Amino acid sequence: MTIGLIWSAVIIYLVVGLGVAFLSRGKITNGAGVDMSGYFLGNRQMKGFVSALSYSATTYSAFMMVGLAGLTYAGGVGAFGFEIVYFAGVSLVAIFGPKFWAVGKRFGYVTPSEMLGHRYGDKKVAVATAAASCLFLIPYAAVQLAGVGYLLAGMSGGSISFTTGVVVATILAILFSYIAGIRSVMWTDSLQALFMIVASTLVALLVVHSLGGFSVLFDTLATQHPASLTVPGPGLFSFTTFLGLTIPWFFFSLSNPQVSQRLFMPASLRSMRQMLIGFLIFGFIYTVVSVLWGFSALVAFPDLAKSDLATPTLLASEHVPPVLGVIVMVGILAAAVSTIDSIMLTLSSMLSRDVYANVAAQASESRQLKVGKWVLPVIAILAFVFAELQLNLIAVLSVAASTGLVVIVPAIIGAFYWKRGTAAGALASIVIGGLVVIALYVSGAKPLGLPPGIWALPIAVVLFVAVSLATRTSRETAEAFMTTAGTAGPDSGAASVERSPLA
Amino acid sequence: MSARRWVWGVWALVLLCYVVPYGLLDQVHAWYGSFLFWCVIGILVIVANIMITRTFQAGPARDVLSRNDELHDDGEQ
Repeated sequence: MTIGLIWSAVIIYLVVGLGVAFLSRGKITNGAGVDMSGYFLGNRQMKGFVSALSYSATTYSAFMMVGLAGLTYAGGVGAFGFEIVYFAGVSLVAIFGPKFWAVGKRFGYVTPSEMLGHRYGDKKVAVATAAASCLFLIPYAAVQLAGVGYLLAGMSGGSISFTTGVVVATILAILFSYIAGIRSVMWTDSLQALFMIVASTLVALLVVHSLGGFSVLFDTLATQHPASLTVPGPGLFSFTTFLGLTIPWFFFSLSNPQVSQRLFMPASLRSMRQMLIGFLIFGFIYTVVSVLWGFSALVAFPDLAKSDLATPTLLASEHVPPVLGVIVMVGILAAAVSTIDSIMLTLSSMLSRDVYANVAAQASESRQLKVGKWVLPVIAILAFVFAELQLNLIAVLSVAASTGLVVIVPAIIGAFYWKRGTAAGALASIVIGGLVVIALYVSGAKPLGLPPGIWALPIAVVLFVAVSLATRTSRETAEAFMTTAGTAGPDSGAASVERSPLA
Repeated sequence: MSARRWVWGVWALVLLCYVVPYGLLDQVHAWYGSFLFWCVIGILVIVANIMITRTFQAGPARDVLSRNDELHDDGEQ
């Protein structure tokens, strides 16, 4: 693949992306009276179609086309099962989405951490949630940036340096999130999501066709790699590993603020429904396609030294025309950037709303917005530095991100369904739970032979419940919050969203 | 079927994601084993979400929430 072709594709992507970002500017995000809700939530007026594509692009990072394909290559069909359990977990949006949306409108929340701080009547809960999110998500964004560096360096045969790739991705993420806040993120995300799905599906169809079709592909797998079609399969997906991976990811839609913040944004519940169903259709196709890439690589190149090479090898092979290869490369770049810019925007809103506003004496809406806009490039630069340094601790925190953030889940579910939950309980589960997860990952310890992914949630639940029962609750806020969410129970006289089996 | 039952249906599908491939399909080395099973689960999850959210409508928060409440109470969709 020539360097000219790669740069041409990157520049076309940059120009089109910037054009879309500028077109997305409007009164809500760039007008005279713009506030936090306008810039970070699009004034809670986002429509379903764009929301669905943006939710998809934000959720699915470069992990899918590189990591999931590699995981399928190494571990077989278990990788598909892992993604399907995550996929089923997005159903939590159908249950919690209307509740987030209702309390967000009523109390004016901009961030999920602000919601928890208000519900438990203690700003420290908001600060702790924001800090935990930064601790795990900045390293996660850094690893995504590093991924782009490796991708461009690998595909250009080293002509484009790792640093150049990381710089390109960082600048794109800053521009896409800075130009019009959430609107430029969502509109560029939509463009990138369409690009990702079309390019990856085209490649999957071409490669499977080139290998003799769907039935030949699976017949070859059945005869030459039979273990790849079952679990535990070649050994990567033992039952405990599968559990350890799937439990934290099942709660991703609640635990990760860059997606749970989206529940405040839809213009109506109908828009939220379109967002959810649109995402599920997108996600299902994208998952199947990524798994087929992994299987195809296993059939075509069974002796790769590392499973992460599955996608690059496939793209550089005779099965994929060079032009399509470069298009997919841009698709992977887009997948990384669309995840990073959403994380940066959400974290900057959390730092200004939940940390700065709770510490500064006179933090007006306009001051908070100004701080948020300053913080945004700082987070980007921090992620860039982490990506460049390639520290072991950063890699550990990135891997621990989904497990580390799951410790927030008991406080979120408790906020809606357990009046007795207290600020001390929420703080204990988030702070102590988070530290335990980090300690488990850093030490490599597996108590009772179980991975940290299995331990994190029960530990956080026990801490939340035990400390809550031992401390006093803020009943008034809890009552108003749960009444608005429709989960206060029949005696409160509140309207109920629905009585789900979680109640 | 009410939205509540569809939510239970999703939890059952999640449970099956663990039980069936590890318990029943661990010797089926073909596309119609775990691969097909998880494909079907994925499609059923989409169907279940369509059914769970079919009362999500346009309108102000309070109206929508009240309307959903009535529909779920009556079990009529």
